[in-house]
Amino acid sequence: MQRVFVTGAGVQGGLGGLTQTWRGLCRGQSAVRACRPDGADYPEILGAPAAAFDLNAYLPDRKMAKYMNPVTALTVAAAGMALKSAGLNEDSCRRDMALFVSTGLIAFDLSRVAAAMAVCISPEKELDLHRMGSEGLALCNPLMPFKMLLNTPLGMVSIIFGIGGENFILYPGADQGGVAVESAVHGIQSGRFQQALVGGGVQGLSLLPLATLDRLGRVARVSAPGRSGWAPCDAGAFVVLESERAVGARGGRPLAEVAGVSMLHGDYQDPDDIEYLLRQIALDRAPDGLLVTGGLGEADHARVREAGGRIWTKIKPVLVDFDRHLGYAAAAAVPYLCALAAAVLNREEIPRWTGLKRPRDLVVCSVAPEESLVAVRLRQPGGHS
Amino acid sequence: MTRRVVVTGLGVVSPIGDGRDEFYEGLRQARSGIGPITSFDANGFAARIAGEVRKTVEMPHWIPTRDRSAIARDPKSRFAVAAARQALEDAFKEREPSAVYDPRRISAFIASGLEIFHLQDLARHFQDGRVGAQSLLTAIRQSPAGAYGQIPSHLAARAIARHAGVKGRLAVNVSACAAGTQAIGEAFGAIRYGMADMAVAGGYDSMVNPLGIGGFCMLGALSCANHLGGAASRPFDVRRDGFVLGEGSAMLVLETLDAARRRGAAEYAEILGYGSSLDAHAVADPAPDGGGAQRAMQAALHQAGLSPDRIGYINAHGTGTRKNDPMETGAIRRLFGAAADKIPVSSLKSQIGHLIGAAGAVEFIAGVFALTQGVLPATINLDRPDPACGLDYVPNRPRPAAIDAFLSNSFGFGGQNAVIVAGSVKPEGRR
Repeated sequence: MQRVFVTGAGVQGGLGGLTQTWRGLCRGQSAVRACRPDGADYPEILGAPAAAFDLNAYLPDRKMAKYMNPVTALTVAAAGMALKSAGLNEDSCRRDMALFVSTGLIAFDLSRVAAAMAVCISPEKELDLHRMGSEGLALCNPLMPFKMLLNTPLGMVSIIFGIGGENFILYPGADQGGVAVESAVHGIQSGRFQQALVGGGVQGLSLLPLATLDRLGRVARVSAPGRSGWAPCDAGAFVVLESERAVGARGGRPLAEVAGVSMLHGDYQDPDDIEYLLRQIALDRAPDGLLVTGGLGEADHARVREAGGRIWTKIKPVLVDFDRHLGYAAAAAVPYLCALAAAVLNREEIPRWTGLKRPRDLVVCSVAPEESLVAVRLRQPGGHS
Repeated sequence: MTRRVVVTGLGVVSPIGDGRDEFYEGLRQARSGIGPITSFDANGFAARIAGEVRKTVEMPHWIPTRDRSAIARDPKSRFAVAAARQALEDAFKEREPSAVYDPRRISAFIASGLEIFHLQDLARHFQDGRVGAQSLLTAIRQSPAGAYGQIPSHLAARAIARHAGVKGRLAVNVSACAAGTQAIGEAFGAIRYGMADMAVAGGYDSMVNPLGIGGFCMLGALSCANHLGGAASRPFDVRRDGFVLGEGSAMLVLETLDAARRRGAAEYAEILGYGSSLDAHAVADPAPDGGGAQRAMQAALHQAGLSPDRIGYINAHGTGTRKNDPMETGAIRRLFGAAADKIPVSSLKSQIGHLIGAAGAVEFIAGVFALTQGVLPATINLDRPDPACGLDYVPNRPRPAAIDAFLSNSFGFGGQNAVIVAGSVKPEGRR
């Protein structure tokens, strides 16, 4: 079985790219703030909008931007950043590269159909579908379908960066990012391919997906006591995974080794399920930290601590909640934390508030409601040949 | 060490039949399931025909109360839970899968499509040229979860996973036209390489709604030969003018051959190989040279350990667009060489339309039909074959034939290519 290494990482989120994000986290900055998504008449929530970035820096042709909604743009930016950080710049390297993407609930920009609806709605707010077909659609941007198809982010990454291998795109929660990572790791371990680009993008702060989460009571309100709930964000995050053979052949530099991946479509509120999840990647020593995402509040973190405490009885890993500073990235959350874990394992400066001290071994753990539980173990690539 | 994977349960809801037996009969009769759209007023749209599921599909009792309203308002989700019920009952009869397998070793790989947006819901909150956020949010809060405005596409997949006792992993694939085949391929890989012992795999989709029809009309992808009705979907015909949208679902139960044999389960087919690739060319058009499609077919055959001449039938992607059909034909010719002229190729899309996220799964069952019933499905409406294509497309009438293995293609938007090779179950294997 081949060893698997993280050799590149890219994020585009509330504090910017990976370097800016890390610098900001070390300074104690947070991207989470009170905001009113999608216009002034949405109730104030806690969220982390993406920082501005230059999409054109990643596009061989600026015209491609017109096919992209914000999710696709964030996905492309993070993917490009990850490939660049891995030093994978030649097209010939990527035809057999696998591409596994996870994407969030579609952020349908209602303004795109506003012109169509305006001609089709009666004073009684009834929609005339006949007029919609015969007149309304002609008023919409003809590129609207590309911005709605759920697999456009994967297609654009493939086209822009010349990636031609095994692939899929999953949706919509954090666990789908976990499936993407797991599939990439197993594919490399089994020798089906040597390299994989894995990640995703979300636009959590758009009206319809937000309202859907709000209905389930999962969005953090500024005024709510304890601020329990998610602070949705707009973000993209990717990692490059490679076999030891591929890294050695091109003289790449591993950032971290993937020491294990486990998944369980279990109950995020059951410490027994969380314990089972963590035991699959328990190895012979406790990790230095558990980077947890998807939890709605301290009760969820307490369950992870309890489950971990059953396994690692002598040395307890530190639990780190990056969601509080960066927002909850849903479908992109697991790749996001894998990218941050790779940064933690390779940087001299670690944000003090994390409580981590020169970590060598971390576990990324997703415990979101009604989703599969995910754990990815990453450690410093010592012993890489 | 790899394991052999077999299909032990089948469920299908389609424009030509609800349930395996009805679907098979629809294939035998070469029936068209395409006609004028009845689910909404499509008279103002350029394309006014589709392959609709005309029968009322019942909601299984095991759908959680909380999700019933949302699933009831989403046709594709209704199709999905019905197909899953059929497949699980077929495979396990009255037993629960979790009584046979450790739930932690059961996974689900399910393909879905674009979320459905109920434009009338949104219209109620339209004021001053935009949809009012407060008003919409109030309405969503007062409605059952997920059932107003935008209905998330994964609810049915989640309900199916819960009912099947899944505690392994649930993967919800949205790779558009390639999604159904990818879901089957990923499930096959998970069992083959030991990540799971049993999986539910399949797909469900319906884009037969104003935004779906309207969006594809905007792309110029749909046939506008409305006057032809059931004859409008014409893959490989020189007069083809685009695909016809369809809807439906197909679900499979996959297990290891050893486990299926031990418990006396039906063995409909063995999945032998899966190939997946990307064109890296354009979002809406296939790469003209068919290189990505060819690589996916080659990878599937390689994993299956079969030379091209061992394939008895190809279920084509065969959309009926100007670009796909010659591209696919060219890729088949280059890969299969001299054997290409001897292997029958047909497109189920001629009968049921393009089911997008469900296409690969429903078309896989058509391949199983060919394998087990000894009859190759036809490409109907093929009256003037395009000289640029030129393979044996089983024109217009199903054809008796005994085959040992088939290959099923799915090539989609975004340049995603997925191919499955499956065959009859041979106790001694094929090598």
